[in-house]
Amino acid sequence: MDAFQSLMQGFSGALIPINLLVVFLGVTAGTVIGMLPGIGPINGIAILIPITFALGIDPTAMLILFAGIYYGAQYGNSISTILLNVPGTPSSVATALDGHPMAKSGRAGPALAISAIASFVGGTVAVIGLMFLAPVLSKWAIRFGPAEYFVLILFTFTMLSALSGKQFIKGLLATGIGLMLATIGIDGGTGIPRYTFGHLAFYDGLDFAVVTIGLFAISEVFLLIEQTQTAGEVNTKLGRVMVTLKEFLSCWWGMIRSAVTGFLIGVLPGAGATIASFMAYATEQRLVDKKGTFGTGDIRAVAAPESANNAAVSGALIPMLTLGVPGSGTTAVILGALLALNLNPGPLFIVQHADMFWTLIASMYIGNIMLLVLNLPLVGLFVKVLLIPRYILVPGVAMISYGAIYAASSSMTDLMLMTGFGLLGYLMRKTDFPLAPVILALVLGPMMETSLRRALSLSNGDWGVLFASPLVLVLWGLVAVSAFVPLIRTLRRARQYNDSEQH
Amino acid sequence: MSDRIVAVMLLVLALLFGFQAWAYVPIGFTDHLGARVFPLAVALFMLPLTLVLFFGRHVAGAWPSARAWRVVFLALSVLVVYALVIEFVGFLIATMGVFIVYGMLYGARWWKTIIAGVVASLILYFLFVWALDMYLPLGALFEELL
Repeated sequence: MDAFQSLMQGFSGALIPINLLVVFLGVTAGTVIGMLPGIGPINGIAILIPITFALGIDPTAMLILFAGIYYGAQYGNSISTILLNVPGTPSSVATALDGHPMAKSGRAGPALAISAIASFVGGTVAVIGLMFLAPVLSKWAIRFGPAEYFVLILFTFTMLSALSGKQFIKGLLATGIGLMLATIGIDGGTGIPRYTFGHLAFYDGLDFAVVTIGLFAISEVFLLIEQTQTAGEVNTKLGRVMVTLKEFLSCWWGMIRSAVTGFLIGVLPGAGATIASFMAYATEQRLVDKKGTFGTGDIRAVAAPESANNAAVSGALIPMLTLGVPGSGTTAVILGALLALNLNPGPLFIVQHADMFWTLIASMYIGNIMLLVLNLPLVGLFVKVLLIPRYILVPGVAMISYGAIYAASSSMTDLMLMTGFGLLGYLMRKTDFPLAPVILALVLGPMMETSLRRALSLSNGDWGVLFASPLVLVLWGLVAVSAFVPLIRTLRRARQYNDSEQH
Repeated sequence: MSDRIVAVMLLVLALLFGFQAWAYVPIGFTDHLGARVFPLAVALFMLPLTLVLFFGRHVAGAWPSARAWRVVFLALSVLVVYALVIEFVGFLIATMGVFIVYGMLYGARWWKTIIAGVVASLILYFLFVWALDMYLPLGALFEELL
């Protein structure tokens, strides 16, 4: 009953015209951003950060906007995946397995329709989950002291490193690079400027919007321009974007199962929409694919991963909101924006900023309904965006990024830094280093050091405090498991590789 | 091979980072952590990892072709020039320039790239300056002329 009342209050906040407009803008922008190559939700949000700060938008509206882009992008993602076989982000790769074959055999309409419906089911189940689980988790998280936080952040790093890239070791090194970047600037505890080399521009630390846009968007521009041949023909004639009742019912339980799995996986740090969608696909294949039609354009195989990846992104908001420790690159960027506005998500956030939290929840119900409308009857309009030629789209992405950063800071140094991070991101992608851990570490690095500092002052300098409570030992256990499982796997693979090389 | 080069670069970076951290000793009052423990720990965390990367298993990655490198280098240089000249020539001219060079890299017709550049830079200018009320430079060059 309590949650219901709070939700009603949330709706009264979310239904005021300006917030409705913000939700609408967010989910529309999200759909377009998810569709286009070169800008994922992480870039869209990072580009909007300097703009929303400059406009002085109310923090609640900002959170609604960013969340809208985040889950909206998962809807848009499936459009380019199904029509072009080009997933905007890895979280739609599983959708491509059957979605693109459906489109090729002339069933693009039903494929798009079921992916929109599945996204809606996944998104809605996850919002319900978020509504009930977040308050419970945050009550539990109040017990976390600084030592627990320190180890929890470590756990998030090892999880994301283990799960985000091809090689665990490169994920960890990417985390290290992010932590190095995070130490640049005046140290909060002692007032000593670190790694600024006398440049005043570095005293405040690196602007994470500059780093994020550089690493993700600008490097993507270089990746896109590397292949200068234009993309293949886009067929924007979709036919009827609808599914039959029989098709819908055949997908129903799969969507529900996938939504629950996706949500729970999304809550885990590091494991996000990509893993959720592949797990959902594999589960459904085992449960319902009796005739072996998965992979040939089975509609159930489109519904399951789409439901799961949408549920996962909403689930991923939970650790960010309740612990203040995000588990993915995009949620790290959202956290960074909240921190810059002096809002500190954490166990007390839902209590202290109850209006903000419940307005966000209500806005997500509304946003998912809007997305269903945008992606069913209006999908024909959105696919026209795919017709924008690359020679306009690619410099367009670059110039929106440069324009936004310059308009906010009027700083040539920021533009130069962004270009430098663009090159770094490009080289990291070329050498198979994941980028998300850099951003996560950049945002969480100062928090990690502060937690360590607080833990040590509470214990009067005794490092044993990092192992003093049962909770902290459990967290160390999780760190060990998340670090050693992939390490053992890597070593075993390395041994097999050596063996096969000797034969 | 590329992994080994990266490993050496990161090793050197971590060493330099660690040595620099050593110098951060606060004068007078300090808390239990100080300023250098955290960066030192980061360096120590990275060092063994770079060694594992150096001696570990390597997958031959798809390294870009010479042509791709040239294109990317050009694309990068254009953005560096953009940052250098934006205050002087202004946002509109600089943005048009990027559109035209990128358009040429894509092999689009020259007049199409010019139209795209003019239209897109005007749209962006009005979006940022008029709709969002932010500042973009018109260019010192033109201000002097006026």
